[in-house]
Amino acid sequence: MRRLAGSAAPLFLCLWVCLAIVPLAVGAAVSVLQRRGLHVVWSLTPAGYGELAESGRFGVVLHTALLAGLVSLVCLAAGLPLAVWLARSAKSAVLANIVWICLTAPFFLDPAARTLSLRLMLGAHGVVNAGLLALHVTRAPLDWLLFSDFAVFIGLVGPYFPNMVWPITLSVLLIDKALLEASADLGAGPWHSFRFTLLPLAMPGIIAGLVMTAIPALGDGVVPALLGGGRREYLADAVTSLSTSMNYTAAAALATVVMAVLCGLCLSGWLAWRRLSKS
Amino acid sequence: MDAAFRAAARLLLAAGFGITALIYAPVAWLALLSVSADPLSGWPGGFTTSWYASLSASLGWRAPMLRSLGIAGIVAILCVLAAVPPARAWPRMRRGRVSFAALILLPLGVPGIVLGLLVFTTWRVLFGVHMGAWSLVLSHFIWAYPFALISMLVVTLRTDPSLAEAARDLGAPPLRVLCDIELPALMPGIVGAGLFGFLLSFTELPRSIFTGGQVQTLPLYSFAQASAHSSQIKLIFCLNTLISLASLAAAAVLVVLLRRRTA
Repeated sequence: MRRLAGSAAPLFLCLWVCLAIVPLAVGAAVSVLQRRGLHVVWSLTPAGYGELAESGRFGVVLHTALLAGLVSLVCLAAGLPLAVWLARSAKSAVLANIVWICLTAPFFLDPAARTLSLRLMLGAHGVVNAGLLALHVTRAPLDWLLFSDFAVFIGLVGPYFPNMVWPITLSVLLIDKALLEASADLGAGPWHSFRFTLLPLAMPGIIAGLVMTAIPALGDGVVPALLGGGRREYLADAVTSLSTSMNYTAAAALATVVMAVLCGLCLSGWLAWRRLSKS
Repeated sequence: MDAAFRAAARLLLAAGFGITALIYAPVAWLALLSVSADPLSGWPGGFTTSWYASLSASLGWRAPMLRSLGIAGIVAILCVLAAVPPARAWPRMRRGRVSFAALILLPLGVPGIVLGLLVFTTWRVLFGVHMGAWSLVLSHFIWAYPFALISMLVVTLRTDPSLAEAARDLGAPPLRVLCDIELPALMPGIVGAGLFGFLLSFTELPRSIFTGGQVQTLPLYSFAQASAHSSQIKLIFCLNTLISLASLAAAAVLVVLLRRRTA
């Protein structure tokens, strides 16, 4: 049985690399190939990137990245206290269990259905506007609630919030309670305990949470399609429109740009973490 | 300083609960609309179960539903089979842990729609293979496997290895140790890995857009109906209310299983 495992493990890793890792590199390779009609020819050209620049797709990447960044920062600000509460100070086990379940189920909800429902809620005659009108917060229905960056933001914050809370909670759970007690015994107030004990020790979870929130938010296609209103293109729209027009070199160039941006962000995040942990 | 910090933390904790509620408001609204006379008006009222009756009479959603169930089932089995051996070996692994984990987690660092496009480009454009059910299974596996592995690891890292050692010392053959000692101890992780594989595949959309080819899964069907304002849309409300309830129940099972292990 051990011999079987010994040969199965390299085989599985080979398959995994071919299926999941090779495609990550293929994008960069295809992006510099020449396109002739629907086929790619084996000669090098930067035309794919030129097409991206012409159609303003770099701006689309930047705009979507800023929105995804804002979503993850809001999720971090609200998710960190919730994660600490879940891991440390939840007094009632029943309430904590309910919150855990509520934060697990969104992974399994159909994205189109809940976004469609949100569209009906945010529309000019929807329940949110009706509520605001009834409370005399506004005189006329707010038209920027739907088909706007605001709508896309609201559509993204909810579904990806659990992606932030889960990893932070796990990393806070792994912190030895004695360290926090020692910090309090030595006279540190809540702020100093948080800043110099909890925050550095929870940093791996925070970074994992940022990655797991920002990346799917960046690539989400359903929310912009149903709540964005089509006046502005988001990353997923650009990917879909380039590939439905079978412009695979430009699509691959777009994928490469996204991956380069992500690598840059990872690198700067890593450098920031090193500086933070040194100070 | 501390008073301000405490106030800010309390405010943000409230915001955290608020966002959690924000996740469920549309789902609850969906459920309300599914029993309303005119769901597309966005207002509940004139309560009726007639849409559920038309759902059970309609045929359009059945083929995508069965297809999604089948694909999700295969992905769940693959996830369990591929997650158990590395998770068992993990506590005894001396080197290669970090590189193995990095290799498995790397695809999660790329947005689903970009990964879908890249997988599609690799297989279709470079190798000329047609997309179909097989590519859906494989792309869903790439998506769900890291989660399945993590839920297995949660269990294996907390399981006492001396139990299996004791069985071995007492002369139990390897297969017997596996079936009678290790598998029962690993069962919560196995159920967790299977549930993750099943449910993440069942609701997967961004990769499926590219790797589905002509094959339509249930999320692709829902998304197509939702974007096209079709007459089937009222049935989508009912269908997804039922699926959401099932998902909540499955999430409850998952949380109870994994938390009992880690408590």
